[in-house]
Amino acid sequence: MADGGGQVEEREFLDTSPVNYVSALFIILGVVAFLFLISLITSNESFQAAFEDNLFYQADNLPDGLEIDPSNGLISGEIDAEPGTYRVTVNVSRFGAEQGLEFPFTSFNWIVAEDEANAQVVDAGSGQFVEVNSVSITNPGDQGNVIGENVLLQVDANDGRGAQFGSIFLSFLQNFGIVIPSLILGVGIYCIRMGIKLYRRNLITALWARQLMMWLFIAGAVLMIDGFLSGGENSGGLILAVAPWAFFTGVAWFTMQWLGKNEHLFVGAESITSRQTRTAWNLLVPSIIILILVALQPLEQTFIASLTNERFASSQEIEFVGLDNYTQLLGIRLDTFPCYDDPNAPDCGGEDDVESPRRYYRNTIENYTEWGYRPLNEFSILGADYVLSARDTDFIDSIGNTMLFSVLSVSAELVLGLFIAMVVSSNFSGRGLMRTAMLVPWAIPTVVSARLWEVILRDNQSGILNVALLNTGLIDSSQSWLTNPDLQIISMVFVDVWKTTPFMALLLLAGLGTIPSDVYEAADVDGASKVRQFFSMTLPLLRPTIAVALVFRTLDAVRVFDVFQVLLGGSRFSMASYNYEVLVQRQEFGYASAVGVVIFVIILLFTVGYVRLLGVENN
Amino acid sequence: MTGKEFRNLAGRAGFWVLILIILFYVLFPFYWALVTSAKSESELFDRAEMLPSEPTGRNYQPLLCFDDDNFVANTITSVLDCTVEDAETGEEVQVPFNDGFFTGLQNSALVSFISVAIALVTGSFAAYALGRIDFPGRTMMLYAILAMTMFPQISILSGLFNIVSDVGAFGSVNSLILTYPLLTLPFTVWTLTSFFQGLPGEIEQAALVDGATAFQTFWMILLPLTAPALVTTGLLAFIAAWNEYLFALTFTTVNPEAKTVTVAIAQFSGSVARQEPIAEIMAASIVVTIPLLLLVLVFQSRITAGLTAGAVKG
Repeated sequence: MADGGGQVEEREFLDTSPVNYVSALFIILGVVAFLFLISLITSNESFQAAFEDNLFYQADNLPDGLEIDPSNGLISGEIDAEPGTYRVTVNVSRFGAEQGLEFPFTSFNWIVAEDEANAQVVDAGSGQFVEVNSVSITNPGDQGNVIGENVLLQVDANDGRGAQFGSIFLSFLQNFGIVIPSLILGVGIYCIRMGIKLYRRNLITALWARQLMMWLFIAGAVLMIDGFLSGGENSGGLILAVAPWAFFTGVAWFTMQWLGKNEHLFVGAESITSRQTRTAWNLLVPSIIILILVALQPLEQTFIASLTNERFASSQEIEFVGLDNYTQLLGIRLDTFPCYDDPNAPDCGGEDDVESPRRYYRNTIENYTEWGYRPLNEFSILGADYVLSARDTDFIDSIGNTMLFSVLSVSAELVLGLFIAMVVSSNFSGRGLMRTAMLVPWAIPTVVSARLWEVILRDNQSGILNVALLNTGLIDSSQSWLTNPDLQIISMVFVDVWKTTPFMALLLLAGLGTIPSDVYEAADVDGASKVRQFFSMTLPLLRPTIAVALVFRTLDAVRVFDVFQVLLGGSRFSMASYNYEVLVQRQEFGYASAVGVVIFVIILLFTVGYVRLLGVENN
Repeated sequence: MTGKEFRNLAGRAGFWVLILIILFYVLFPFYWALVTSAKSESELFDRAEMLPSEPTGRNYQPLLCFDDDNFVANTITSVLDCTVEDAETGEEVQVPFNDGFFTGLQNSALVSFISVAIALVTGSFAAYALGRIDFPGRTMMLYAILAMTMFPQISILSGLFNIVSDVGAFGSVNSLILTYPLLTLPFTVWTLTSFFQGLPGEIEQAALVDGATAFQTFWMILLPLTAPALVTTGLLAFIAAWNEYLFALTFTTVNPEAKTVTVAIAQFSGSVARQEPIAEIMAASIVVTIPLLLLVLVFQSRITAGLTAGAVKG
């Protein structure tokens, strides 16, 4: 009887319950998230600029009879000159809006139409409007026939590209990226969904809501405090944008605290799994903050830049080029060149006649060299001759170098590291010193260790390796470890294995330490041999540690930079040192980013492979 | 001598031969750095000998001779003879102390300690969640954290530069404290995750049955058990931060006070123009490696003192 009465009472209470207000609050919060996103986007000046089309052309000192249309830069009118093609010799410079750098330009073509001069000054190279300081117009056929001199043409525009979908899209990506807007949008949708579920008195939703609000409130508060403290130019806008967020999440959080004392107002019970999941996400919050704060934007911008033709220190318009960078980087093709067709090349592919097969070979690939392919490697299988060619031969080469290097060095490190870890894990006096000595190679700064090896590997009498090997009679003459193409990769592997085996060994040593000793005692009792114990117990138990060590060693090996850069100095590239070359020497930021993404994808494939094979994923 | 005793003896001798081979392999290049650092400029390109003919402490003078009057400074002075003959007057004068190197050491120590602290705290939280709790989104988070280091450093440099300047950390050591989690955190999280996974489930269940919350179980029971992994990852992360070069070069380039020691070494300029001061660089590398080795020596005994101490009985 009492139970039934209680239920009725509760239901009556529910109808006017404060839970309804909380659910309304959450729906408002969802709307605030949307408003926040909109205010973030609309208040961004550099994004707004993408919509504007404020081109304004002005030309001073034009020859008599010519006029410029201020809206489109079209110069028209009649001039006292014979019809024909005239060359505009320009001595102009273009100013990068932010850098204040000057870029010299050489010449533009100005075509004078039959009866009127009707032209735009267009940069012949990039096809974009430029700011022109002075123009002298001369007739190239008749030197000195100057039509106009020192015409001052000014394009008063931010970048002159006008409002186009492509540029707006790119500008959005560059200013906001994809992830942050999606996150805010996601939080908004989630809040509204929570509001609806709360209205249905869902306890689990309520608990999640409390946690989410706590973190959002803390984030909002930190952003506000940061805005007040820094007091920079944008801080006012930031505070205004964040303030409603912080206010509503704060209110929601404190309301949810009340919930903690009134769980009976909600329906359902929380399972242990659900509670653990909440704990898990709580514990992940610090890492997620670092991920969003430090890693997200650079990684995202690298992806975005890889789809553009962006260059450093250039005011050339950045364009969305889709996958062009990737097709250029990875474009390879395999062709056969049938020898029998060519009467002049009987020895095609043979060794004694180099000239004629070359000639024939050029004929074969004539049709695709136009597409930018260059031969990379020639080989024959089963009597047929093939040529492997690539658009960017240096990069394809560097992939080969890096893969060979990574496979050799990581496998050598694993074997050697495991060996050292097994030796050092056994109990002997001086173990501590031994462990310390073991880490010496890893402790030497990489900047220095590459130089150290440069000294050791010198190809003259001051190189200790050559001297030692000569003295012991292992080699007959001094080897050029760093310049001989046959020895370069081996030398790199040797240096890298020396440097990073300690990393592997230390990780595996710690892994060995977690294997309970009673496992071995049991095996000893059963009479299993040490070798058998190693393969059937140590290795399987060490598997997760090996997987992690392999992931991180492969990650570093595929990204190898220092040793290639310092020791080979551009005579042979790894992928990362090629990346450096493209970025620093050629300044092609978009293209270099594509190289970075390719490295990223290769590492991802390796990682997924290791995880699947060795299973760190499964509990 | 019975057969068994002989086998034991032979085994032990073989073992020590192995130790010697390993020691030679890992230490010889370091020894060669030491030899190179004790050579004079002219001797560097002579025929390689196992010992320098006239060992000199000259290359260490600018690194260690601080002009001060205390026990350490005096000991160094007595060993290294911190004076040099002035080229013009021929008088003995005090060697100029390389302030940049010393500042670099301090900055590196500061940045590395803070980076390791951040990596271990956030990393062990995350690793407990990823290693002990099976929740939706777990695999995605593992990969998301690893993705932080999957790009070559040079490609993300310009993006990082924007962030560092946005928060106003450009040119200070804060920029490195901000960006080094990229190097240390993924490694810490993955390693610790695999160690947490390796712990037997009974411990945790027992704690939960006794009424401990998940966080208490983690903080008071599981974390102490992963001490070896914490020490290992801490050491490796410390060395990674200590030896980092590219970020340090880029973000502290405008402020000599914020340079780390690797940048300071790379910017050594020799006494001979246009020639790399290789001997001084080697001397500096020895000086910066020794603190790391002391650190390893202090912590190494913790590396294998985990579960073997009898956490699980029966």
